[in-house]
Amino acid sequence: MSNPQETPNTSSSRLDSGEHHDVTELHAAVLREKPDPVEGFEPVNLWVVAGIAGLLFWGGAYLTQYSGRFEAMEFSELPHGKPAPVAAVAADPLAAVKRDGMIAYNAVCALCHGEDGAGKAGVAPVLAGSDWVNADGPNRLLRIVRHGLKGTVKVNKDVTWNPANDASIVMGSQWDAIGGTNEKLAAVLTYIRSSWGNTGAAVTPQMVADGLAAVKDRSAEANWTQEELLQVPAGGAGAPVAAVTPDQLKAQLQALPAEQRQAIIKELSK
Amino acid sequence: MIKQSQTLRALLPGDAGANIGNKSALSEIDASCRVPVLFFFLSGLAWLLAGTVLALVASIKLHTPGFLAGWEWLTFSNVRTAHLNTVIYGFASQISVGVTIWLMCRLCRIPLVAPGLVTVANLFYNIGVTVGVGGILLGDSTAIEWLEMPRYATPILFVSYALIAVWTIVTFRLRAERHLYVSQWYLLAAVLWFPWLYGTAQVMLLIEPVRGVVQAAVNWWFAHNVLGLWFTPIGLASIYYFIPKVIGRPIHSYYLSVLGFWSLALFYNWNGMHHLVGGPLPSWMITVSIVASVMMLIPVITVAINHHFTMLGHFGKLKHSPTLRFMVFGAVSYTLASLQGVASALRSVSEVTHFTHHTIAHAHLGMYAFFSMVMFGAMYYILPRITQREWPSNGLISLHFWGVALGIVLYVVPMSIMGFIQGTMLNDAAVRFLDVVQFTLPWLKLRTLAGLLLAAGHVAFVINVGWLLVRMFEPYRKPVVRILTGEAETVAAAKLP
Amino acid sequence: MPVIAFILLGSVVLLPAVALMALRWAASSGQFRCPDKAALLPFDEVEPVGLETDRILGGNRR
Repeated sequence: MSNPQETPNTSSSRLDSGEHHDVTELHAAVLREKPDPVEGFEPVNLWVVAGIAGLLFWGGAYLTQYSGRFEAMEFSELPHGKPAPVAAVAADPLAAVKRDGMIAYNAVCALCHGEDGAGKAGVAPVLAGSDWVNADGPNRLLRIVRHGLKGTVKVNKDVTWNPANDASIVMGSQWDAIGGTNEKLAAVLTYIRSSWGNTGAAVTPQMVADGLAAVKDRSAEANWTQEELLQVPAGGAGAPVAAVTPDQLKAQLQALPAEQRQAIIKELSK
Repeated sequence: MIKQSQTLRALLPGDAGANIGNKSALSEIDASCRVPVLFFFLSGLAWLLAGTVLALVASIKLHTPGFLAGWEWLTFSNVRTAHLNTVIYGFASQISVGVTIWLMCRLCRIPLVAPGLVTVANLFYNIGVTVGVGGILLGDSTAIEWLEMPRYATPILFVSYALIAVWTIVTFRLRAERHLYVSQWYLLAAVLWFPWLYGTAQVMLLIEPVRGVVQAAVNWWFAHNVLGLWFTPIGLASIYYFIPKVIGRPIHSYYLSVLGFWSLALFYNWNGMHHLVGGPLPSWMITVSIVASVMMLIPVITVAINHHFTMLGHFGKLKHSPTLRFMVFGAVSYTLASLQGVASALRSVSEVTHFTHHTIAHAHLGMYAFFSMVMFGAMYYILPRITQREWPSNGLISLHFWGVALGIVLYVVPMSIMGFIQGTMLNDAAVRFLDVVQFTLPWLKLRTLAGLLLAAGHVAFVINVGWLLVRMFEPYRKPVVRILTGEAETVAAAKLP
Repeated sequence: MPVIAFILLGSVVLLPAVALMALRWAASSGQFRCPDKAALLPFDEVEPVGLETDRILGGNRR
């Protein structure tokens, strides 16, 4: 650009500014070959500028919404750092208990009964939808966990569950494994009675304490059998003795035929 | 003003007499680069073959776990890691350095100063990569992604790399052409960014490790920036030089290229944390990263407009130039890879594609379909000029192009789709994990097939390069002027007996 | 820890400073002034604009 006055932005003068015209003519063929004479300094398209502006706007908006106010302890990935939608869980007063139960269940029980409570053929019966689990009360369940269970079990009336026709497959006491406290057992039972479509009511530590009081002398090695358990009412306050008050007992005795009542009293007074 | 007019005159088609001085200047520049650039290319290609074998072993192991199961140093974790480090540090980085040196000398219009020094640095670099990959195969991996090379290998790499970077800058300082082309911006930035990335990551992760989740943040900052601030700039610099050079037409818009460079410099560095979407990091860190990833659309679109509009009306030339074929394939892949990257940085997409083969397809779209293809294209242009020999076999060129082009399409497209389906299956609690694994099996076999195609292309290329070298040591037969200019063909023909 | 602090603070101060210096140098040395000229830098009188330089496939080798 030996001549600074000459503007370089017209198609014919770009390449040959400062040159003699005969040079241009000599290379006219080369110059003609280029279809677009202004390439190299094509101005930026306005749509590109508009697009960039739009992107920057979006960036600012997204940053404002999702930055959690730039706080170091804000981990929520929701707009404005709102807490995750756990409202349904938080409204459940038993959420913490069920979570506690789930941890123990997954660590201990799930090895045989499965994390989905489906059981395992020949090893452990199903828990999901089982009439044993959904029973009125936890008296049979807490005994099973406390002292174990052996032999054949009939689940949901018609399905007989066989421990692989092998007497060696026995559920031992899981009391120590789940933590050995009434609270832990209550949590595990609450969890299995409320999971996988089960509808059993929650189990409180007090219910566990009452239920186990009746069998506090039973050895942990003395596994229950189906027949023994079926004599225990699933619901109510635990052992049959505890199920009736002295007044009820008296009424029941009075309802019996006279000679039978006499025989019982004679037997008891020995 | 005087200098400007001289430069402008130099740009014009001058008369035949003035050509001779310039022609000898060009071949002087090419000749000065011959030994180091050839060394970089050849060792890079050797590592490419090693990396291809390792990749095939890893790919086969994914669908046939019993393959080579008796060799404990070839377990999947070792092979996959060795593959990554071989192709990143052995192949891609070395070819990058070779291309960088040659482009720098060409654009600065000076011969390479003290090429022996760069050659020695390259020798040490190869020793470093060998020690590092050997260490990985022996089980000394650091288990930090992209930084798996054991600690005893990295100082060798770092020092030899620093030597190369310093030499690029020295060349730049001594330049005869004061005005900078956009390629030089990218190259200079890349050679300065890489030691910063590598040094920072080494110190913060291996020498004086930071604690907790900060490690993950640093790790992904580094790993993503190796792609974005080391390979991408060199790839783009090559495209910006070679497409105009081959078709004989300046780039579409120089303004856009300036905008593209500075927006890349501004935004890329923030991108890495989008790999940690859903991770235990403060949400603002991930959000900033996502925003920066989407802002990458600015450099990507400006670069895409520039590359693709430059090509407009010149597509017929793809038939004749291997360099152009590879470059255009790479430029299109760059656009696609970037758009895919932006999409998978978004939270809603990342929830699905994270931890699936989609990410692996994306990595290969970026590193292979974009970067490696561009480097192949650059080698097709540079090698005949520094050896002063024509490519011996057009058939092998075609085999190379179609092998790797079909191979990488067959790799990336099915794996992207499969990864997406895999992600939706993984997110569905009702689907068993084993079913997800079984679903991927046929697709993984397809990937091995794609890998074989890529391997065939690589072998064809290496044979062609070897043949070229054989010709180099033969008596002078086909002069380079035939490649350099059309009208020189007659001059060359006249010289021949 | 001091090493980390050194690197972090050093990077925070140094890198933007280097970037700004580069930008300033580019502006003051006229790198942004003549984009038309910069776009022509890959070309010279031996290989001018309009010359295809890699025509080696498909017959008609040049």
